[in-house]
Amino acid sequence: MKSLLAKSDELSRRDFVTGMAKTCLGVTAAPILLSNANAAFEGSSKLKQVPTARNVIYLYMSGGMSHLDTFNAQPGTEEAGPVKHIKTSADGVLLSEYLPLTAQHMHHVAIVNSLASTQGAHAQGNYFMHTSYTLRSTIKHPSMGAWMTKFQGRNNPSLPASVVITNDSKHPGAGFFEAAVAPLSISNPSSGLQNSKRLAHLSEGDLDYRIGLAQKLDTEFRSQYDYADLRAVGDIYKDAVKIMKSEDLVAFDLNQESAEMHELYGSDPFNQGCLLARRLVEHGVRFVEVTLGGWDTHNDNFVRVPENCAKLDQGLAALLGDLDKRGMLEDTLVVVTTEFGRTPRINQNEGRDHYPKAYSSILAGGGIRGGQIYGKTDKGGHEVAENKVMPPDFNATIGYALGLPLDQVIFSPSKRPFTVADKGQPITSLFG
Amino acid sequence: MKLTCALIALITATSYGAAIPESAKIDAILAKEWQKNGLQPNAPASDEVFLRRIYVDIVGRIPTIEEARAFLGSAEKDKRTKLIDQLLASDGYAANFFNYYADILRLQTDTKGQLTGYAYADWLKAALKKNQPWDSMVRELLTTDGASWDSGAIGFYMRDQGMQLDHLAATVQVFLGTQIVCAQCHNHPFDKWSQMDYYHMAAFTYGMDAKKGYGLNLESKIAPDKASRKSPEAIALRKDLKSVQESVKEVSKVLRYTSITETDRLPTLPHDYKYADAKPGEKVEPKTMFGHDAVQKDGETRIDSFAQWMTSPENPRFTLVIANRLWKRAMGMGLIEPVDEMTDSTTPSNAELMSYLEKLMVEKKYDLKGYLRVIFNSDAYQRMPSAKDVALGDVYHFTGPLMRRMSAEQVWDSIATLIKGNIDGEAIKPNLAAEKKLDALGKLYDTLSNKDPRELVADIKAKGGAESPEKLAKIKELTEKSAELRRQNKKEEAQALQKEISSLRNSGRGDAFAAVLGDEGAREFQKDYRGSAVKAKGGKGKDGLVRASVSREEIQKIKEQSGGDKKKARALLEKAQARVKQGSGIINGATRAADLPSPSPRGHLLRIFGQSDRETIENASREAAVPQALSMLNGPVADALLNDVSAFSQEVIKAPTTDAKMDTIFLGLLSRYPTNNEKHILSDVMAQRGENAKADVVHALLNTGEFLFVK
Repeated sequence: MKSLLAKSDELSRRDFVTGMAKTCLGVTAAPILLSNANAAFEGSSKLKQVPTARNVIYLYMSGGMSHLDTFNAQPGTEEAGPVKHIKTSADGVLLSEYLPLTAQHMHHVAIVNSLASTQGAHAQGNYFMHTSYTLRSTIKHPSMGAWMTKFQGRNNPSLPASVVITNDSKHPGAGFFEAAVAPLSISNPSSGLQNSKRLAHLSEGDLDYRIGLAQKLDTEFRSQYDYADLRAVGDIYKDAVKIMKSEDLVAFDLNQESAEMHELYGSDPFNQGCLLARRLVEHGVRFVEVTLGGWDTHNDNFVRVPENCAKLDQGLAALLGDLDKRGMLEDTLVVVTTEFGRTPRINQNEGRDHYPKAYSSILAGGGIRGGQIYGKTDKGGHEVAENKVMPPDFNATIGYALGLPLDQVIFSPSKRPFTVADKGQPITSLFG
Repeated sequence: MKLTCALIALITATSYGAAIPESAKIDAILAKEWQKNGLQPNAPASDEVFLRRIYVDIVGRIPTIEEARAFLGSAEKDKRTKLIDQLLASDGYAANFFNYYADILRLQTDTKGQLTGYAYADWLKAALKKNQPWDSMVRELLTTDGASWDSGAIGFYMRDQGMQLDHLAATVQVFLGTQIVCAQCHNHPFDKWSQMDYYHMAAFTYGMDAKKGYGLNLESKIAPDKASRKSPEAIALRKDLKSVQESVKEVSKVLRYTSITETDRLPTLPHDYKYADAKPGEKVEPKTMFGHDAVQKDGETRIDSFAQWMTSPENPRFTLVIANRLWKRAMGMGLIEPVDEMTDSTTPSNAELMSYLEKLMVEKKYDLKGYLRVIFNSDAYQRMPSAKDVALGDVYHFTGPLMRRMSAEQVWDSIATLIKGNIDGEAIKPNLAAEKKLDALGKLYDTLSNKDPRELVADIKAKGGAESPEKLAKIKELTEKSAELRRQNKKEEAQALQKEISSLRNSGRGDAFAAVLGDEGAREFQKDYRGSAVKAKGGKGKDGLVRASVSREEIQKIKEQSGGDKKKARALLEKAQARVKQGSGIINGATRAADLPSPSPRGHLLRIFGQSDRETIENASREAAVPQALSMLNGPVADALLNDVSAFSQEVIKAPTTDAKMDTIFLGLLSRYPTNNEKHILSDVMAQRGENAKADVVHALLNTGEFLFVK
């Protein structure tokens, strides 16, 4: 962690400022600055616990998952539409009929039915959910995986601390932090880590020869110039070779999984992503996000939601069962979340529109007490009636599980002060 | 022969630079600085170093083998100045600097309002190509309203649609090098700006309304004012419009994010405004944050006066910022760092030079090429780079430029050059597909706005617009049926039904367009607007196709290998042709970064090498990261270069001897010939690896620091 905080290789604007903040202000100067920063952090949570989760698998439902048709069961209401409800493995917890497999794992799961966001557009909602801050054009805030890496570093030095499995190029990633804490992005889980395998026509000996030759031919140049970013190039080649030869490279290779496992998880990219997430966590990656798109159901909600739920249901149930069987659920927090819910009123296209006023997410494992429902909406899922949870609170809960210091101020390169989960309050009653 | 080249290089290097009096002035100022600090300037750059650097700095790519040979082989005394002029005049300049300004302006194409994004990109490329003066460019960005089919400059405001206050902060940071964003919510904690200052400034641009809508207000045509809105006619129209609103929405949806309207709206203070000088919710009038007042002359609007103030030579920071930015572009570091966070206490590392450069920029009337030409012709620029980087917080006295890694775009464009040769000719083509779509939108807009709304309603109704009750009932019925089928696990039948639903819904779309444009017009619109993808792939030139055939050398080899067996020869030839076909794919893929979507998608080589996501100002990174090494070692680049179709391979094939081939490989990748020491290494490689030696050397050089860095 120290090396990440201290790293500054380049004289670009943002690094220059980071460096200046470091050399001129110093880490110890932060509290002094803080008193000038008009006490922006008065409200941040001082709560910190011994971490209950070591890893996070974060399943993101992109497009706005309908809360009524998934986790906020409202049987017997007009708003529920044609959806029927089923009993689950947790007493008194009902689920939508679209999630029959997940229903068998609800004794591990806490549902939060009282989320509310201020952002009703996709990009803004997605960003708010991922960073706890609203989208601005002057700064990019870090995602939760980046915050975790910043504070706690890597678990396996030859693998990145966090991985995002998605096609979406808008992920906030490292935000204003340095590239070293950025999550590694994988767009196709079945093909694993991009370019990590030798070209087909090269033998290991061939490639080693070329790498050796490159070093030889570069010696003179490197001895002439003493530049930090040139030295960094040398370092990444060492790391790259390390990864290529690392036994942990198999973490990215789904071919290593049995046919039964593939069948259990399913073949959709999301489902393969869930399987990859489990593999990565097993090998020491600590924060894995998997995206499932297609939730923007303005039309034909009751056709498209069950289609999407089929993927989610299989992947999520497989993941929870598999983690449990391997004894990994205890310290792996599984999250299912989204940018907002969908209108309880069904529109003329048999669809539901954006609805940030009330929506649902779930948490399981990693110290979460399963079989509970936190928060409530009114009948029909229109308004939060009890225990409102905003995105910062939800992220503070994730940070709390990981034991992150929710009140520690980090300055952006532009010297603006930020905290993980922006003053959100963790829902401590979910634990234990 | 090589020896002669090296000798010539030595000789010409003694008469480098300073052909221009302004360049000499820069050198004189620096010389004083060195003397004061007891420093010696770096040695003059060799021709090889100058060659590679000037190509990358001006046209954003390394020189081709031919270009390198021509320059290194020339004995002309003023060849450096000539090359500078030639490169500044080429379109490669616009492509290279487009990448730079696109990062500063956060220019995105594949986002909401995609067409406006592409129009904006085309506008910026055209402005750089015609060398529009910087002050004039900035004025155009600040003041342009209207639709994106008229001017792509509206992309400047559309970029931050719905976030006018943030947009102002970005504008001040980019053009005035000053960060006031903190003051948006409270008085600035580290600088002097108050929240009121911020709102005063925002009041200038706040009226530039980037509604996500399309700027059509059908009702206002019948009822232009409050009173008339209550007339029976207006009430009837409102009801009528409501009945066809889905169709109108369908048509006007394509016009979203395409226009900026200039209004006289002013911002109001936020509800939690806590200072004594005003109350929450109060309107704020425009007022400049420093320097002179922005005076609104006759016939000028508020935004006009703001643009005049912003770009005036009297503005204390406008000239300073661009002069310092371009100095940094050329020399690797600004006289003021960071370039966009100036305060009253900011002092340049060399005040005399900074003020001279400001004066120079004004004298040049903000001619960016003219200004750069002076710097590139200075001795200061034409020296070897310093051997060590500058520690954070240290003052640098510019005894030479600093070495830097190529930007992501420069790495990519250099690879494209190795594959295709000189790519400057094809640079910055306007995006024709986007232009066609924009024209179609323009026509649609004109038709819509010229049409009487009552007529529009009648036409839509006549065409059985998208929301006829019968159709909706049918859709609902089918949807229920499909859900039922799904419940019974009859997935395929359900999917078939789903297709029917979609086509039913889409049929309304055509109807709505036909109602507005007529049948023929709607067909034409669909063809032009939906016809082709705007994402520029480019690169399909005749040149590429010509090269995409099996080389003569290889045919000869096939003949030898088959030893008269025609069947065997045909099989070998087919194999070679398949490889060449793959090769033409390689060529078509090597499109300049500036002609690709901005930014490129995640996972693209450009992003791996740190291309900005264009989310925040200057977000590009030159930091080394493991995926870069992996992509150069195991990605397709080495094979693309080694494929016979690449311009680079063609030159290597042409070289007569093995030694000459190695020289060509070095010239192509590093713009220089191998040193004696390297020649020893190469002869070892040839002895050990035989046939593989060339591929080994090419792949190895691609993975050196020397390839990625520019001395």
